[in-house]
Order: sequence, then structure tokens, then C-alpha cells
Amino acid sequence: MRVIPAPRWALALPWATLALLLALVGLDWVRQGGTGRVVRDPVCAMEVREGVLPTAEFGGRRYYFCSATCKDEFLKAPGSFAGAAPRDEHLMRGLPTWLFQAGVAVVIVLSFGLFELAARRGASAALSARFDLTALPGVRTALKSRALVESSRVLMASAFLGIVAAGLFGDQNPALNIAPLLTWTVWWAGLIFLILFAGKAWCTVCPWDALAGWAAKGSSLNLPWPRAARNIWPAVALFLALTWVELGAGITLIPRATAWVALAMLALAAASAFLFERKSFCRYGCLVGRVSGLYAMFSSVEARAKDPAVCSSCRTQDCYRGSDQGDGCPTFEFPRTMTLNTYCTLCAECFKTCPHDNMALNLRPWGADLADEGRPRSDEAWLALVLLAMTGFHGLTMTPSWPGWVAGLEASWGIGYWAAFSVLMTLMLGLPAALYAGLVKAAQAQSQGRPYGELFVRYAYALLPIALFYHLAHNAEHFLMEGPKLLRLVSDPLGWGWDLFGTAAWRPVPLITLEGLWGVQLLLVVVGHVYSLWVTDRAARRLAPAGAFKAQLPMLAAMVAFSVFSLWLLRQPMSMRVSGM
Amino acid sequence: MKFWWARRAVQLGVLGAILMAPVVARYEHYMSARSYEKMEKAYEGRAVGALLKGAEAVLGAGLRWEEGGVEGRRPRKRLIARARHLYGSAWSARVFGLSLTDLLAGFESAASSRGLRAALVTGLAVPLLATLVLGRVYCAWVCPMGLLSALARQLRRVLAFLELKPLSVELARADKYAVLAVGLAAALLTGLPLLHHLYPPALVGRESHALFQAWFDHAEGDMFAVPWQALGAGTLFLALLVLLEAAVAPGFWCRALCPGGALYSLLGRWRLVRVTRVKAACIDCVLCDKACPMGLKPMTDQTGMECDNCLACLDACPTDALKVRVLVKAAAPVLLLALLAGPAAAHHILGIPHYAYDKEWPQAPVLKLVEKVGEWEVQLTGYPGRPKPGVRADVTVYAWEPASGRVYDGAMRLEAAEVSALSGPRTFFGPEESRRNGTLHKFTVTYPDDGNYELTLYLTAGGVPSTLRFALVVGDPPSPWTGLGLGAGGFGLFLVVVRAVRIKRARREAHRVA
Repeated sequence: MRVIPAPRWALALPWATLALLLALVGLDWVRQGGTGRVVRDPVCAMEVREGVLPTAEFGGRRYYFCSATCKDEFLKAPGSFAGAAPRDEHLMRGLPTWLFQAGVAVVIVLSFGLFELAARRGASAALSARFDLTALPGVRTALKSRALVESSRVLMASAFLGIVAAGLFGDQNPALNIAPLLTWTVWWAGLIFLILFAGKAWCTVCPWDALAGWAAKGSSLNLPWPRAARNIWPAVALFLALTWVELGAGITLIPRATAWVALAMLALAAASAFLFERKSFCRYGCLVGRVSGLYAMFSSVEARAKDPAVCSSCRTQDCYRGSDQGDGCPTFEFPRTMTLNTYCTLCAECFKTCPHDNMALNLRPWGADLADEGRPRSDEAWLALVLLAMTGFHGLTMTPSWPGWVAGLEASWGIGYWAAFSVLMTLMLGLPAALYAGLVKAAQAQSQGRPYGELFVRYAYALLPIALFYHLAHNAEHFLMEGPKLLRLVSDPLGWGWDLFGTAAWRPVPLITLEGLWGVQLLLVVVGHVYSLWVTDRAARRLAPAGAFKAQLPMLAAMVAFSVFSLWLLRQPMSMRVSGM
Repeated sequence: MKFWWARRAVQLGVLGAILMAPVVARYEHYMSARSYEKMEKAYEGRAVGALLKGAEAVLGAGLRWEEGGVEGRRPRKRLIARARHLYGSAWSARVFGLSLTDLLAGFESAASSRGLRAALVTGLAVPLLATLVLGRVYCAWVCPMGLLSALARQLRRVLAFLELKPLSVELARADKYAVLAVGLAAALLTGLPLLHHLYPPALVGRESHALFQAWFDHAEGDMFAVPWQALGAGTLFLALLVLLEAAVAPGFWCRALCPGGALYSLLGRWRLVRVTRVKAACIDCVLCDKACPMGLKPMTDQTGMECDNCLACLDACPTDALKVRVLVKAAAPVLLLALLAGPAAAHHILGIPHYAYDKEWPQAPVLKLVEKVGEWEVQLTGYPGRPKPGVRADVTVYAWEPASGRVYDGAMRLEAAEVSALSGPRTFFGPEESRRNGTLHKFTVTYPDDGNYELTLYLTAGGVPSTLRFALVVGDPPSPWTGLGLGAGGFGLFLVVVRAVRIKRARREAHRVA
């Protein structure tokens, strides 16, 4: 087979973005004087590093502020802030107006100007660039050995059980218990971040699947997953249910509820493992697997067959059927025909079973699966829409005006809290979907008689980068500002006054200052927007080769609307979870 | 099957009476205190209210609703009189004026007190007579363990269906005499009655009284959840017996270990009413041996003193070869004994303190929490200590500096939030300034539901603004162990079903291949 030479620069893009992010955080760290003392902003109650931040003197005491906005507010009435009692929840200020406006300008310019020009020249060759990691010494041996994966699963499973125990039996104050912070701030944000660079590595070490798999090993009924449910609607429903409970009941602040949710997932995974063959739950039912599966289409890592010729001459098909070297693909993928990351859990069984060592672990450019035609399905398209809507909804519920909206609806309709919350959540799910549906209709007029359903499904994949990067921008806030508190909590995970590692009394500084965080968030939203534009463009060229530019105009409007909404959300102040404690 | 139906009817009737006795006692109690109408209103729509109504329906059956010539008024005196016809439990009871004491109870209390009281003797008369005439009939027809054993036999079938093959360990029948001897000897030597801790009928009665009393006591404090925590070691022991009988040794308790069974067997040694076999009619089909719950062999007349006249063998016999015979000749000495039994006097009431129900009862304890802030000590006192939902409760705070004796005189604010598993910490009170009463800071909080609460106190002690948190429990919140236990139990059952399906499937497969 002739190898087409592909430019390698596309492979470097993800890592360049990572380097830029790290540089931003590092620069910010240096600029603000690194590990200063932790002080508290008297206006918004945020914890900040004592450094070259805005400060002010009042009554012989020096006060520190997260940003110039807080300082201005303080100087208007210093007396009322200086003597106030401390608060537990802090209100994090969003992007300042000029930054928001600059962001909107960049988004619009990119959409309709620069990017359209750049895209015309085409860069398809760069997309096929791959670097096979198994060419490096030791990588294939590691993938083929059982010890590596199994030991990391044991580690993850014990950590999981520890967190559940902490949530159930530890102190129920969310600031003293490790379960909420580790689950909702570190894990959920880290999981999404990991997908960008390592694909679905979480699924490889997932403790739910590990515990369920060990328990059911050799004693499963191996029933086939019901034919009618062989889609990801179960996972979509679970995702909506989790969001509903998570935000409606505020379980991110309740250690015990966090543990119950984790146990409920374990029960579902284990019940499925005992009833159904292979890892059916991972493929059809698991919300984490499906959400990360869609995002993983964007990921810069893939497991693929190396040489199609070897596969087509293969008679045993051990990768699908399994052999004494390992199981057949647990999620029913057939490496010979697998072109998408969506359902691959990177479990590396196929590396073990392939008698020809024909599996490769490739580095690739971001968005490689999204750029191609793929195998669009309506359930996946809807999950992409739901992801976009729900990540935005997540941000919305943390704005200070949210409780007012719920209370207003309760009062005006005379309904209870849960009903009002559900109505607003449905609205928040329905509005973006309706907007998207309408714009797809507009795009259809320019698409030479393509059926509406096809366009609806195909363009939905272009929403994924926006959802993914807003998700990251939103969670960067949690991760960088609150994440370091984990250092303190690992010493006293249950809030029982332990000091296992001598760090229980630490007050770790946030990893980044507010101004640095704004830069990171803006960068992430813009990167996501650019990738969405690019995917839209490619889809439009395939769907309407004659009038691609006109056909994609409505979609461009949708992308701009969603990105500007993301920026607007980032501009809002957010009530942070446990920061002040 | 006719004897089976009769036996179950009697057993269920006895069990119902045992379970009803504490309810009837509470009903009588409220009636005597003239507070039934008030409690009826307080318990409207609650399970406790339904229990009392049920008791009244049974007691008032056939009574005309009239008192003192007023039509429609509740016939209080006659209801109380009827309620007094059911007192006690299976260990010792008074039913329709007749004192009944379990033989084991009688022997054990006689041994531990080293004496016989007249009341005890009168209470023993009827059971003793019945045992002498009918043998171990109490075991088969009265004791609630008979129902539990039957339940265990059904469980064995379920276990077998679930492919969890139950074991069939046989214990020596003579063991129970050793248990009885050791227990009575211990009572005689140390004065400690021990056997009632292992005697199922006593346990059933005691647990039922404990549960219903706690239930009503809680209800009087406006807490209507079923107080399962009132059930204790007795319930565990009974559950263990059922599990062991189901999984390990069928019927082992009655056959081989029960001290009461031993006593009844000994006294029933010369019983007048016996199951006998007509040899000519017997066809040696072994059905009666298989049917005997005590594991005896009626087909070869090996019943002896263990037979409890349950008559299951008569039900089983296809040729009516088994008959119940009365040995009239031997009746004389027993009848003589019967003359000793006379009308019995009340000797016991499983009583409840006779407080007025208008007062807070049981008395609510006070909650006191102390926290330190630097040199300052902050005392938070809650009354009642475990407040009821929906009722105003007091929180009083006193802060002082023990070193100097200085009392805090700054401002103080309190905030109260509910901390529950699925609805978030929800602040429903404050932060509100305290009401000052001398050196005390007072707040009045009304908690919305049962659950865990957190009180947050803001004060500025020694020039430093401080936040103090106090945990508080209101009513009866659930514990994580309940959910964990139910979840684990449910999942365990699911696993057993999966396993059974696998085994059955493998068996079918093997059958098909062969």
C-alpha cells in the first residue's frame, strides 16, 4: 500500500493549544507572585492570592480584590464591606464587558470573514496525518499486557469505593467531605479535558464497569441487549435524568446524594453486566460513556486497524470474536470496519487478540471523526443537541438571577419548586433545539432537495465542538479555582478531623487568578467555535456542493448564536459551590 | 386437609390476639383516661389511628352505641370492660377472666423465685390440664413458632427453586431436654430466668408489645414513622430460626432444641388423646411419615411423647388408617387434677405509666451543644432537644469568656438550613437577629420536616467575626443504612435469580444433549 504523505502540523495543533493553556496559567502564576498567602476579597468573598492584585487601604488594614470591579465597588462604600460577616458562598465575577465584546467580535469576524476565506483553500490532506504510537518502543508491549490496565482499574475502583464511603458516612458539610468536590469538580471537569488529549481513557479504567465486570465474570446470563433499545436513547434519558436531579436537587453540594448517584450507576452497570452479553451497558446505557463517546470523535487519539489488507485476508477475526489472548470487542465494534471513536473504550483487548499485531494507537488531528461523513444517527444527533443545551443550562443555574426565575415562575403559575424547575429545564432544552430546527429548515432551502431529517442529523455533529469547549470553559472555573482544595481534603476525606498526609490545615491557593481565568475561557470558546465552523463548512460542502456558502449561512448563524450565548454565560457572575469555605 | 385448615385458623387467631393485645391495652388506656376522642382526632389518617379503630371495631362488635341513655354516644364502660378481656401475651395472659400462664414461664419463675404463688398455680391450671390430656398440643395448635416453621418450609421450596439447595441437618431430639435442664438449673441456682430469651412464643409477645408501645409513644410525640428500631434481639433470634430452618435444618427448633417443647413433651408423656394406627388398614405408603412436621414416624408407631397431635398424618393418610383415640380409663387422675383449677385472679398487666395525656409525654430532653471560639465559649441550648416538625422550638445561646467571666454582649444572628439527601441544604430561617433576654440570646425556629438540620450562628467574639455550625436532628430522619441494606438485599436477590436461571439453563442444555 502506498502511504500518502500528510503534513504533520495538524498533529501538533492540540498540543499547541495545551501548551498555550499551560503558558497562560504559568504566566499568570508568575505575574501574580506565585504562592502567596490566601486572602479573601471582602466584596465577592472569593479567595485570592496575595500578590500584585488590586488592593486598597481602609481603616489601617489592606484589602485584596479579585478584580478591579470588586475594588471599585469596595471604594464606593468601604465601611459596609470591611466589617461584614464572612460568607460561605462566593459570587465569581464573569468576563468584563470589554472582554465579552472583544470575544463576540472575534467570533463574528472568524465566522463570516477570515475563516470563510481560509476554508476555501482546503486543508483536507492535513486531516489524514497520523502518528502510530505503537511504533515507539514498549507501547505495544504495555497495551498487550494485562497488568497495566488491571492495576489501574483496581486503583480506580478502590478510590471509587472510598468516595462512596466518604459520601455516605462522612460529614455532610460539602466543604469537609471529599466526595462532592472530587466528583463534580475534579472528575467531571477532568474527564472532559482528558477526552481532548487521551480520548476515552476514562472508560478504560472506569470503576463502575470494573466492579460490575469483576462481579459478573463467568456468571452473566449473556442475554442479547433488547433489539428495540439498541441505540443510545437509554443513555440520553439517563443524562437528562442526572442533570435534572443534579441541578434541581443541588446534589453537587450533598455528599450523601453524590454517593447515592454513584451507587445507582453501579447498580445499573452491575445489573446489566449480570444480564447482558459483553459490555452492553457501556455501549447503550451509560451516560458517561455516550457523552464522552460523542466528544471523543473530536479527540486526538484513536485505536484503529493499521493495514486494511491484513484485515481483509484475516479469517479468524479474533478482535471481534475473542480468543484465549483476550475478549472480543466488549462494545461490539469490529476494528476492521471501525472508523469512528464513538463506541471504542480504548480497552486494548483488540491489541491483545489480533494475531497479526495489526492494531495501532494513533495520534491524529482534532476533530478527525467529525470532518468525515461518518455514520450519522438521529439518537447521536439529539445527544449532541442535548449536550449543547444542558451545558448551557448548567451555567445558567449558577447565575444569581436563576433562583429568582424559579421563584417567579412558582409564584406566577402557582406551582411547586420541582414543577417550576422542570418547566424551565424543558424550556432550556427546547429553545436551542427549536432554534436549531428552524435554521436547518432555512439551510434546506439552499440544499438542492436534501431531506430535512438528513440535514438535521448531519449538522448536529457540528455543534459538538462548541458544546465541548464551553463545557471546558465552564469547568475550568471549577477546576482551577476549587480543584486545589482537594489537597486539603485528601488528608481528611470524611471530615472526621483526620490528617493523613499532613495537609489538612492547608489553604491551597487557586491555580489561577480571575483575570487569567478569563483569558483561558475566552481562548477555549474561540477554539471551539473555530472547530464548529470548520465542521459545518465540510458538512455543507458534502451536502450542497453547488451552493455550499449559501447553504451554510443559516448554520453559521446558529454557531454564532450558540457561541455568543456561551460568552454571555461566561459574562454572568456565578455562585460558586464551596469556594469560600 | 381439614385438620390443616383448622390448625392454621387457630394459630392465626392466637397470633392475631398476641398482636392485638398491646393495641387493645392502649385503647383501654386512652378510654380510661377519657382521652380517646382527642387521640382519635390527633391520629386521623394515621396507621396508629387505624389500629385503634380496628380494635374498637372488634371490641364494639354487637354493642349498641349508647351510654347513660344518650343515643349515639360511645359505650365507654362496656368497651373498657370488654377490652379487659384481653391482656398480656403468649407468655402469660388473661383472656375472658381466665388466667393463662405458659408452663415454661411457670416452671422458670417458680425455679428462679424458689417458690410457688397461688396466682401462678391458678394460671398454670388450664395449660397443665390441657397438656396432660392432649399432650404437646400447645406446640402444634397455639405456639406462633408453628407458623414460622411452616413459613420456613415454604422458604425451603423457594430456595430449592432458586437452586440454593437447602441442607438437611438432623439434631438429636434429646438435646432439648438438656437445654431445659440447664435453663431450669440456672434459674434455680442463680435466680436468673434465661429460657424466655430463647422461647419463641415469649419473644413474639414481647416484640409485639415493644413495637406497638414505641409506635404509640412516638405517635403521642407527633412522630408517625413505624419505629422499627424498637424491635430487638428477639426479632433477630426469630428471623435466625426461620433462616436456619429454611436453609440448614428443617424444623430443628421444635424437634430438638426448644426448652418449652421439652417441658410439654415430658408432661404430655401420658396423654389421653393419641393418634393410633389401625394396622389392618395401613398400606405402608410412608405418606404420614413424610407429612409429619416433627419428623416422627406414625407408620411404624414411633411417635412417643414427641407427638404434638397436629393431625397432619391424618390429613395425609389415604386409607384413614390413623385415628384419634381417647384413653378413657386413664382419665380419672387427670380429671382429679382439673378440680384444682379455679377462677383466676389478675396477676399482671403489661402496663404503661398512667400519665395525663394532656401533658407532653414522653418528656422531651434538652439539647445542649458547646463550641469554642478563641477564648470564648458558646453554648447553644435547644428545647425540645429533638424538636418535632411544624412545632415552634426554642434555641437559646449563651456566650461567655470562662477565663474572665465576661459575658458576650454583642449582636448575634442565627440561620437554620435543612440538610437532606436529595433537596440540598435549604435555608428556611434567617439569618435573624436574636431576641435579648438578659444575657441570653433567644430564637424561635419552626422546622418544616423530619430530617437533619444545621444551625449557623454568626457573632463577633473578641473582635473577630465568627461562624459556628451546630448539627441538629428533627423528628425521625432515615439513616443511610436503611437504603444500603435494602439496596444490597434487593441486588442479592437479583443475583440469586440470575444464578438460578443459569443453573436451570445449563441443566436444560445437558438434558437436550443427552
